[in-house]
Amino acid sequence: MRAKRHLSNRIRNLLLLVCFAAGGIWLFSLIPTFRRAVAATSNPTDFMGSLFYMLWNGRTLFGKGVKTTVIIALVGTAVAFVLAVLLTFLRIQTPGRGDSPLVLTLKQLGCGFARIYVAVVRGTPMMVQALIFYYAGFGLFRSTGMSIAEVSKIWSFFLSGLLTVSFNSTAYLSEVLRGGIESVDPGQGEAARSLGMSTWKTMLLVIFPQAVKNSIPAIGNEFIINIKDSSVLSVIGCYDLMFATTSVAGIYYKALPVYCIAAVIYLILTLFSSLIMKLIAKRMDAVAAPLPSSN
Amino acid sequence: MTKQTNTEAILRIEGLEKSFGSLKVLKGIDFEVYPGEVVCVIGASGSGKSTLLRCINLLEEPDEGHIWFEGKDLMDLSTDLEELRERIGMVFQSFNLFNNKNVLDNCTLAPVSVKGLPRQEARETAIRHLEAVGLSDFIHADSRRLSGGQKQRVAIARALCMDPDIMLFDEPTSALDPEIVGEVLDVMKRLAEGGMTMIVVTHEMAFAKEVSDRVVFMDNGVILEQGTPEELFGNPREARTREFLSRYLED
Repeated sequence: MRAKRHLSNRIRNLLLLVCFAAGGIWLFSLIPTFRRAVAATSNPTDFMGSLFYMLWNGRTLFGKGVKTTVIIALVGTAVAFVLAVLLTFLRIQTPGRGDSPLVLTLKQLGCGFARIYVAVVRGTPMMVQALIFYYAGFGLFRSTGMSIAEVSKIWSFFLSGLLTVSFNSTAYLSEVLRGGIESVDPGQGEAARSLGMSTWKTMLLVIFPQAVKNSIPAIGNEFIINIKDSSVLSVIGCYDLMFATTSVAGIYYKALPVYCIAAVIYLILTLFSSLIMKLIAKRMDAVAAPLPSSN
Repeated sequence: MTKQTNTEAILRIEGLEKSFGSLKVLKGIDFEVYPGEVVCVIGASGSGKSTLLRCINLLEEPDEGHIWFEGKDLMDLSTDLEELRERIGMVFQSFNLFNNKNVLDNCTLAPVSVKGLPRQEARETAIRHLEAVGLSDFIHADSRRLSGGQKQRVAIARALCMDPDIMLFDEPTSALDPEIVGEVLDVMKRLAEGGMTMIVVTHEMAFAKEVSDRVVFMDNGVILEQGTPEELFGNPREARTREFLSRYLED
């Protein structure tokens, strides 16, 4: 059994090595094509040549797009985490002993709001959310009497895109956190309360730190999902990697190679992120989850 | 039962009732505990003894009745529950240590965050209690890595760090394998000898016999019979008690 596994590992390693070597040789063999593409004055007709030509000439656009995508995914997930914490606290409120009718009503309202928010956001596509959010914000600023130019300065494509991702991720992350809270053995909460700790202190000092730790892999997944799903923001004109790609395709009037470039860049971003997430999870002693599917 | 003369009961329960859905688990419990007394609660599984214990510090909210602890009724909504819980220590069957804290921090968390003790003082108290339960080598250990018996001893030390007036034990040895039950019972025995007021829900009949001042037999949601260990084990009045005990006393 042990020897068998040993052998299968060796075969796998050997195959990986062959694949890497083949890939390396292939990339190496492309260097002349790349040189030719960089020096070319018009779009080459062959696939790889055209791909390199557009990658090289569109590099500033791609760079800008990648930067926006990464910022939106990073900041969006961070903002979403903070909002999700608040939303989760609304969601998990339970009637307490001796609560006044007002407090009870507020708790019920908060919990209801959280449930509806999560249901609506998770039940609609982010592309639709982005459009509604952008136009609603635009209309709102316009109604204050600002000119279109002034509104565009404040309510930029970037800002509305960033907020769309934040608000969208809030719903998913609050479900993640709720799961994390529920995964903490309720006995620990009972022990804390038996020691005289209030519900609030119990949550803050015992339950929540463990819930966040349990949620780290899922939070990392949400970040990776945001790298990919922020591509829908290009519909409102947010200059992310997808928008940059479409722009490059429009400039050079050639689609397939550019979208292949986009795919490779997205793949590099997600693989790299998942590697970092794994390292963080390992450091925090949390179990890493595999690369997620889109939500 | 010499201890109850001339002293006020530290805990007095009156007409306690509790249902889970349509299942009535406690059907009117009247029960008193006096300072320094060690009371063991025995009975078959499902007789309501754990529920009774969990009602005492209101981890389970009773439907009816009163629970007076040091003169204050826990069932009164205006009572500061948290303030009373500080003085009611509890030890659970499944230990319930805080997994995000090491052994020492498990013991200092509540004294610092609830009682507001200075960290240094809380640490010193914790170390003293941990030494007393024989865990001086594990003060900085990860609480998840301990054995069951060690975890339960940490749980006892953690409860003692709040300097409680009464300790509740909810089947503290039921989750332990027989070989290490002794190390936990020894700690409890020493605690009893030190004068701690204790209510122990247990299946350890030898412990109940040896350590308790009074044994309470619960059956089907009521206290069927209670008395000194000699009375209850030696000469039970009720047929049901005899039936229950005969199964334990065979071996």
